[in-house]
Amino acid sequence: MKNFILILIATFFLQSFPLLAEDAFTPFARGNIQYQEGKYAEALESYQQALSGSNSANLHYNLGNTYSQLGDAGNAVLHFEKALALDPGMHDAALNISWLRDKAGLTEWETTVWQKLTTILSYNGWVWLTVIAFWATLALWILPRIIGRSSLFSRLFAFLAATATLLGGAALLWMNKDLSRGVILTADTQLRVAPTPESPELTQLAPGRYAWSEGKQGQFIRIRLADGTAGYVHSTEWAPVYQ
Amino acid sequence: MHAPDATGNQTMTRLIHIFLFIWISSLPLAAQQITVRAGVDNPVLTEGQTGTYTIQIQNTTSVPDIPPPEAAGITFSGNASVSNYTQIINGRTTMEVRLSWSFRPSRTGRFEIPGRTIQLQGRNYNVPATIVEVQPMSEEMRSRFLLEWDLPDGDVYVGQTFSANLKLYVRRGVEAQLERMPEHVGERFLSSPFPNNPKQENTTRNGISYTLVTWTTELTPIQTGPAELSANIGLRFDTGRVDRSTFFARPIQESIQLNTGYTTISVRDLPPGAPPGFNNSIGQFKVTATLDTHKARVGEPLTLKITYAGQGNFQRMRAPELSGFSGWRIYPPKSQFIAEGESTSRGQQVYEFLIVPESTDITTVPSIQLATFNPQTKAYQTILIEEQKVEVAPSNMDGSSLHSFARDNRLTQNGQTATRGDVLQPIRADFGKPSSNLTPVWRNQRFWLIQGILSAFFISATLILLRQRNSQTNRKARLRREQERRIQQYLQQARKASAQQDAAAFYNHAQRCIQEAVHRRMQREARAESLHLGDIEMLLQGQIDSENMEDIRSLFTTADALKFSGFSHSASQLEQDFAKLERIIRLLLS
Repeated sequence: MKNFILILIATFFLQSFPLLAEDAFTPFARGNIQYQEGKYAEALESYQQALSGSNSANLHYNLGNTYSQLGDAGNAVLHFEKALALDPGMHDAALNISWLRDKAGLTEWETTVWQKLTTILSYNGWVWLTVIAFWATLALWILPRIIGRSSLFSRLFAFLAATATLLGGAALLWMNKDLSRGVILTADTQLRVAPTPESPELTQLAPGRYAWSEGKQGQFIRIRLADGTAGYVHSTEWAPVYQ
Repeated sequence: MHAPDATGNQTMTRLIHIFLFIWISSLPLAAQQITVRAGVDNPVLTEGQTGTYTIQIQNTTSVPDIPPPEAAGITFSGNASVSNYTQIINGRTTMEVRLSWSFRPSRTGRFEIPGRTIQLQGRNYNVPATIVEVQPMSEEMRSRFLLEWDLPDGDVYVGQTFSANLKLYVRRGVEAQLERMPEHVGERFLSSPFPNNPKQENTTRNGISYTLVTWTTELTPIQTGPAELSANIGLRFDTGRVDRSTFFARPIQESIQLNTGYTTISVRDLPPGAPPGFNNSIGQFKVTATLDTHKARVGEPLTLKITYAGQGNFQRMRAPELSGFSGWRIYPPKSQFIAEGESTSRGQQVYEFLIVPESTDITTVPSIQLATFNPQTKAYQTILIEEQKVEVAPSNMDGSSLHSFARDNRLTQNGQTATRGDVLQPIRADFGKPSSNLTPVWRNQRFWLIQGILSAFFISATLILLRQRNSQTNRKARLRREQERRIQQYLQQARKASAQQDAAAFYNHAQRCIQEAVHRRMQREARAESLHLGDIEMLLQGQIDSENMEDIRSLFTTADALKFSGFSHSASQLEQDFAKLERIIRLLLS
């Protein structure tokens, strides 16, 4: 038994070496080095390689910085937004978005108090909170009543769980519109009246501008801007924050 | 021979008559050539009145594309209103096209709307000139309303922003409403919009009481030389007369256009020799510069705030230029205007520069020379902002990466929160917590599978618990189930005893089984053993037929006989009695 444990520890120890050795040369770490050296195109490639394997708020954040350095404001804002969607507390991403949009002359997107409150958790965080709180409410409220062993504590926790369910539900309802939010990517994006390349143009959209998707028609996406203007852009000119 | 000649002459005469009739009839048609006339609805207007200029084109239905007329001192509406007329007078049809423009003379006097040539159906036609005379407003009307500029005294400089008041006097007792907001006339001035909520007060002028309405606007001359400035406004007022042509007598209202007349302002160029640091700021300013901190590290930005406070052309001044800042990286400033009230010429213009020291050799923020032009003193004013001491420490990053950090690419560990949003925040060194993806979790099938499992578990648990609770709370149900369980138990034992030819046991179990079944049927709670045959007969009276009752009696008596007198039996009898027992139990439980 003693030998078995020793073998197990040794196996684990030996296996951890290649992991540690590999860490320094992960695409993410490589991208960081290339970024520091000012090799932004190579850094972008490395980060994209990292993105194909895994996903994190920091990875999207670094991608946003790299796109910023390459002068691609649209993709930069998109990746900063993705970073914020995964980690709403990432203050730096919000600052960088503000900086980029300010530089591009885009007016800040006015956020309400409710919107700010919803950024306590990510969208999926709110979904899980609501679901768990819902089941907890059922378990703490209904089951003790059936059993006939409802105590003050179970009632108190049931009330808290019910409150959390309601709060989570309200936050999800509020954030629902945000699911269709996306970012204009390219500099020459034209907002068109109809989903055809020959359609008259309503206005030109700056990269980094927010637009909400209202559906897809062929190669075009119908979008609505914050001021209510709606039209069509080519699907390569707009990308959603949430996939 | 005469007869045929006479007939022939008559026919010829008729043909000549028909020809003459057609020829005479065609004469007016051939004479209907296109004629063009022009005129105004009222050739003598009163100052402030609006007129209508019309071009009439007869004998055509085609509408020419004519631009509005151009006449010095008269403003025409942009698009012509077009109307077609058809008249039949003495069998003669006349068609006419009319193009009308409303116009407003800007002053009193005699005006000529010049003639011109228009093209119609490939031919040129002359439009005659028209004369309009504008007479001064009557003294009575003039005493009702007055519009005038209240401008600052003296010359103004090109690019200077100054406040001007447009004053409307309405004699007390005259009911008037604003029909059109004031408009400033004068191409050499830029003006801020007239406010929607003008100041209103009562005043006396030449011994007459007026309501005074004052709009304050900011004017900026954009060209040097004498510049004419005017303003006009549209009012609707009660004439004091009453329209009695309808059932309900109504006060008659009229519109009037008021204008200030032209005021000439001399706009001067700025004096030559503007000092370095002049950023086109004209006015009376107090300029200050502040640093947010005097201690920094290499690569870390400081905020240099330069504030122009006072009265002047804030909207037209440029950001000051920072020269001599070697060793510093300067970012384009962020500007913000903080207005004092609603005025655009009073307040503070703040320029925030981000300046980044690039080495530890830097000890000061260099002095800044700025200059403004003061129109009151008619001279440039130079402002020197003294140099400010700063302590620049080395970057807190290691030397190998110092160069890259100085380019805004600082690398910090996760959790270090930047305090500024004015530069790109540094990248993250660690990968952070891996996340699945950005797809909402509810779009994943696994999510719903988990919810389904949880629902199934919860429903099952609820049902089980409900059943348990029912069994605990419903005593009768519990008793019934226990009785059913005992009946089945006794029946099983009776079957076993029958199979083993154990008559004593069989009849004993059969007796108990019947007792329990009767209890179950009668929903009694007493102990089954206490039920005797007499009781059973009494309880089941009228509920089962006599044959079945006889079978019960037989089973009971046989059991008693076995117990007390050693009654003998055969194997076949046990089987028959078990069959009887089963039938009786089914009957009792039904």
